[in-house]
Amino acid sequence: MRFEEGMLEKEIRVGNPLGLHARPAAKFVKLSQKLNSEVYLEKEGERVNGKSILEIMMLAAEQGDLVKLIVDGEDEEKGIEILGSFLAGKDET
Amino acid sequence: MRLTEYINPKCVSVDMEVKGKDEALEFLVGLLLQGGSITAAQKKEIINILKKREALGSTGVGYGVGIPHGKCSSMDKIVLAIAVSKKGVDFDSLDGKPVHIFFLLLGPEGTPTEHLKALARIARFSKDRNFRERIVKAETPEEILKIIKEREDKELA
Repeated sequence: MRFEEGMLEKEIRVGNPLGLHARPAAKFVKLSQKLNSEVYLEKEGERVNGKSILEIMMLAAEQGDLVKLIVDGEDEEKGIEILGSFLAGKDET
Repeated sequence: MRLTEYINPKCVSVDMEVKGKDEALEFLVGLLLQGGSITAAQKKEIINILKKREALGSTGVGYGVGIPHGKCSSMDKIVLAIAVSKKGVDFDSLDGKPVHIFFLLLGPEGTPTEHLKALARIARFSKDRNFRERIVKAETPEEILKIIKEREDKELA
């Protein structure tokens, strides 16, 4: 059993003008599912599973909203970087 | 905001029988036309908007639920159509499973907050297994409206 080394957290303002709904949420989930780490998103104290699109949609995060990204696991550093820049970015595709 | 305010019972179907994504979208938008929420001229435009969205990633979000949605500049308010397929529809879902419950959410441009809040509430209810089971078993559109109203009362209590 490996010792818990903590996790990485980062507060980010949602950059996407569309907010974090189905389409950008789907992209976020695609990225987070590639990680071996656990991924969570938190808004106003509500924490959801970052690998579930339905749970992410529940947050109704809009552009400019502050969300907390939490990545916990073996590739957490890579995860926080990739997911963090996606959240802050304006990718509308 | 209440989801029930967006739903006309004429835009709810408890026995959708279609094959595949295109037919499902056609059926759902047809419900809005039938209920008088959109015009025949808007139907084609809306179907195109929804297909473009689906091409970028399925709105089949898992749990047997599909939430196709979009914004259309010629609409003046948010509307919601609901259809249940007892057999399930292949909708290219994220978890690969067929979709039994469809929520089609359409709104005008420029209401991002209300639109997102409505989507969030549909997502929250869809996660609730009991809610999904009751919706799938409903036998009339009125029953579906009642289930949503009760769930919403609980949410806002």
